[in-house]
Amino acid sequence: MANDVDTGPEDDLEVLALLHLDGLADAEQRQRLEHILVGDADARVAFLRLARQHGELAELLKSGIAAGEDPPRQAHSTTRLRRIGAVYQPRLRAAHWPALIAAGVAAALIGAFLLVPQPSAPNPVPLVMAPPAPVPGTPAAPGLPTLVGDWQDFAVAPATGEDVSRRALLPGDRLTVGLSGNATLAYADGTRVVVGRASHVTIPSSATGSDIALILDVGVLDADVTTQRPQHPMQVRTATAALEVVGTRFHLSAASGSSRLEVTHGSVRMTGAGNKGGTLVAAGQSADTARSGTLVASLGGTGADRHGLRGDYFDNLDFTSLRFSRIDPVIDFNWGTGTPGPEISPETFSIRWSGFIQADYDEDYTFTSTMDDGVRLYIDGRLVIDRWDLHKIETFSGEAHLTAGRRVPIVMEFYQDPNQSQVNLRWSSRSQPHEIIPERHLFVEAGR
Amino acid sequence: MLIGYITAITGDPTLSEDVFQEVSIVVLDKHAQLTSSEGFKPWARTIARFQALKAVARRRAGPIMLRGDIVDLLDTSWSALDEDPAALADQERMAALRSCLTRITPRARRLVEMRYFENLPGARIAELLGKPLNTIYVAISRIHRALGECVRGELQRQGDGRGE
Repeated sequence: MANDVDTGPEDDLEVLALLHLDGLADAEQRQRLEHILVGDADARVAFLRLARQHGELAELLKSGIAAGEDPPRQAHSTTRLRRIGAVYQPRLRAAHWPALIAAGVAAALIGAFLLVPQPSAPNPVPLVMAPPAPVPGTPAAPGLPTLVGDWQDFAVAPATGEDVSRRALLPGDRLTVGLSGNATLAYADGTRVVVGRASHVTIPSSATGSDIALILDVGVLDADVTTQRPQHPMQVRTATAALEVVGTRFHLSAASGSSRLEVTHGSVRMTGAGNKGGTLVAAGQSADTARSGTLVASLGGTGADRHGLRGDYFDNLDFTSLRFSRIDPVIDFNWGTGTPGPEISPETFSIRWSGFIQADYDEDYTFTSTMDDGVRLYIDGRLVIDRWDLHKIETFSGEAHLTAGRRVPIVMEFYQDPNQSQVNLRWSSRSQPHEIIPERHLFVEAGR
Repeated sequence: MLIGYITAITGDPTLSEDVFQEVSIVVLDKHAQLTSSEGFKPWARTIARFQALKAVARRRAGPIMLRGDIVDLLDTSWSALDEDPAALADQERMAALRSCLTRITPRARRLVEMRYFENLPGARIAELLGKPLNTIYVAISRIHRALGECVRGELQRQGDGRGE
């Protein structure tokens, strides 16, 4: 057997299941597992229970909330930084112990781990009924933060007389940071929120403690959010906006009549009071809400080098019912029967992308779009592709001359009538391979 | 626990993390499409299954996933798990698991930490502890069994308490 695991019938399902879940099952073991699963409904339920618990254990122990302890440090760091599209796994968990200490602890514990139950042992691993000792300063619940780091010049109301460094902030608590102060809120899953000077943050009275929720009454905060469960995103509110965060880094500021969100990594759903459904604000983008609570912009960063095209999304066919705007890095979408955003009907919508395009070569370029349904493409004011009609998915091309290093205006319009929706924009030339026009060749502004 | 479902399908823990992140974004982006007649879990699981199969298809090499007909059977079984009143909410089960983790022996706890927190492969744990690999996997499977029984007991007690 390739991985040298031999199991008896008593343990067969569980061991095979664990090998499969660890990606270690060889072909023979996978077939044995499948043989068990295909003929035994109880085995399938047992397998799924094990898979669920497998994931739960990893989540509990990685977030350090098992047994009410501070998270142990990883002796063998396996958390990986990566970007998946717009998804960002922000960082190694900030509360991990120093690796050196952990290595020593691991070595000591390994030494103390004298005997692992043998396969022939008939008894399950014994349970010892010993309740865990409470750890001072540990959050009472994963959704409630403690103050950590070099906090100063702050106050918590209502004052209980209790040292707030020894307890979690509770629903209804209001943190006030002074003019020279700052405070860092730490959550059990590694999420960190740095509250800037002259800021007020409230833990909502309605907070259950199971999910992260806070209100920025006024001031600024920077958040580095560990990946949350999608059905329980971190909730942040200001007077004029509401955010849903799954896992990302962002900066939020709130004044009496407006809010501004700047997303560094990942994406955040922002909803203004008058903007049902909200807008997904991606990395490098920012969004503002006005006094009325209406989401007034969802645009990229600033500067002439901002890449991508501005996309204006309309909930009708004739570009008259604007629902949101954003910067799209490239034009390459396939929504199927879906929709670009919850505020837009999948049946009928239209999009206008606008900005500037800059090529590397002085050549004639062929622009190609595969679309369902209609598209119009303008390069430097000239209509290059004109297929403003209903059709099945098809590909159309047009040509335009571009000058190396010179930005020229580009506008592409798209509309979707019922059923599938898909659109992209590619280019090619004698020197330019055929490809989706990359983000680095697209600009929001004309530049100098 | 969506990550568990994804891993059950793919048999690839690394890929499953990627898929879970993709699913998280899709779910966040499309949650408005969830109609009230659908439950969240089946809806999210459908997305997870689609993303998992897509990810396995684009992966060039890696562990072998389960056969499609078995994935279908598992989907049905998972629906039954969701409907099991003893299953309760994820959070309640997680809280029970957290509680049960405090009751296992330090040795078992250490093994769980090595496997799940430090994310050490079974072979590495076996090497560190000087035990055969099959011993490690049987031990971990028995810890799982004990924890599972403990969690079910906890949830049962909670259910009885509410019923009184």
